[in-house]
Amino acid sequence: MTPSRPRGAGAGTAGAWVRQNPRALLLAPVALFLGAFFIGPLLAVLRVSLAWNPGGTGYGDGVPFYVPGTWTLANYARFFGDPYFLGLTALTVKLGLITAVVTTLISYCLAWQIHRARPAVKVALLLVVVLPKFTNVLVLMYGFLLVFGASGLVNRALLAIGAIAAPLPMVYNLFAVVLAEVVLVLPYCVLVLVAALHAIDRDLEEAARSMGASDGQVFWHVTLPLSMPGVGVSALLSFIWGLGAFVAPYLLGTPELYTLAVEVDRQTNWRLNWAMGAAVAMVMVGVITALVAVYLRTQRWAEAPA
Amino acid sequence: MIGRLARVGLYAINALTVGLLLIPLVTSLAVSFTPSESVALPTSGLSLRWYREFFGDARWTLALANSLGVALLTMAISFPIGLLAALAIARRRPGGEGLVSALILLPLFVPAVVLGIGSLAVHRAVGLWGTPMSLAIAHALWAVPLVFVVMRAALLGVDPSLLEAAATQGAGPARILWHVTLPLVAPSVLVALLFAFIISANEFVMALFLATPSTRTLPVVIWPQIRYLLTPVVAAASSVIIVVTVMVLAAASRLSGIRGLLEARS
Repeated sequence: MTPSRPRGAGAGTAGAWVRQNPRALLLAPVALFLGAFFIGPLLAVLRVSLAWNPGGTGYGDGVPFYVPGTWTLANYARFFGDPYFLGLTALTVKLGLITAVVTTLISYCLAWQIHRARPAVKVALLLVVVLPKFTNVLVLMYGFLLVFGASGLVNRALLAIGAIAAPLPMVYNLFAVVLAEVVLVLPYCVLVLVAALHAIDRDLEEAARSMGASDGQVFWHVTLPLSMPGVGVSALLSFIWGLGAFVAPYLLGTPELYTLAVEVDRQTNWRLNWAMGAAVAMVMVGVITALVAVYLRTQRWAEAPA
Repeated sequence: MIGRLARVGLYAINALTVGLLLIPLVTSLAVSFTPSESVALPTSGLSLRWYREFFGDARWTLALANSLGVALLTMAISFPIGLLAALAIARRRPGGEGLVSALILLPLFVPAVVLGIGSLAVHRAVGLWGTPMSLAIAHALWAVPLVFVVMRAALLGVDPSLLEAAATQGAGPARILWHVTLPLVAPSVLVALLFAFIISANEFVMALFLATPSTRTLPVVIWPQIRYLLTPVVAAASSVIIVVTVMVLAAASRLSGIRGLLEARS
């Protein structure tokens, strides 16, 4: 976003061009597209979550997986009355929280080094960071199994040098799920944090140093506080994406680590109970909305004294 | 000397992180060349047997064709939509553009399972379900915001006086767009198309919800295999995805310069 473009330049991008082409016309395609295929599906999820599930139908027989035209809160009542679903929600939020904390900490370390690196090193490190995003998530998970599995590289290496007597359990547990989620979310967080560090006025750090502050003091009292907005965005992003975790808990976790997203798939594609799947999906949307609301609150609270 | 110690600790953490990012990728590439029957590193020579198996199996080749087809469709849908939206925002009045941008970016923050189940309901209702277009439209939900972000950044960098000059010479909006604006931002156009392609080729969760036996993409075919029967052909399939991605990336960076790629990304 560029809130402070010079006024004269702004008028120019437009030119005569702009006057003939009202903004609305340019925005029409995106509005139609998102209206039909984004808002539409969200409303469909909401609607289906409020319908009865007929139970016991299958693909191919033409029977919908919910009863059209019916209205009920039964799916939500079931969700909020069942310790199973409430436990899933708590687990999902916990996983999101752990992902957010770990990812943001690791990302900050890497972002700081990228920020300080020579240009060539900077480009190389940024490439390494974005590479997983250009790779299929299943490829990554498969690689995880090969590296961290019971007979994977790490265990074989540790066994070979005699550091351990039996393979360490590094997959099918919380450790693996968190580690995988970190890899999936980290690229975005590093980019956000590098941008935040770049935006800091170098003169402020220089000023602190010239008054005799040590490197550590400059970091704690100048750099870190000034980069906090980036840390906030990074934490929010990783929390939201951690909440949506689907593949990592499924492939690298155990049934005890299945999240709300996995439950949506199980209800929809396995039990063919669309109504319940939709209700679980709506709870996810609700949790994310609440998170964003809290984030915006803290933003306002942080800006208020200034 | 605490400062030096902290620095060494920091480097160690970052080295581990970089390893974590790279090692799974490299390992699955290596395993695809194994001559052995089971999933293992190729310690006794290299073999292409799993690639032969991949390209000899109609199920895999159909999935590869589907992946490429859906990715091309995603590009075709998302680029014009994202470009027009960026043209609308990267202009004069700043009023309301924050809100419009936020709305366009919103799909990126909705979990794929939610988009998947919702799209399934809508696409079935309107008769799209079971077509490659159905998957491409779902993937475009994430591709449009990316195209929008890349093109918005690029258009803000265009010297407005050039557009004005063209306008005073009597060029219409379409001609200015085609002959002035787009050539000026050509590298970003490429990056935007590339993002759309890659996000689609690698997307898995929405595809899982929307694919039917005839529209299964590579990740959807890999999915049950990776879960139940781990064979090296999965590594070969993974490598094919990596190779396609790298080829697209290389073509793009050749045409636009790696620098432009990174700038657009950050």
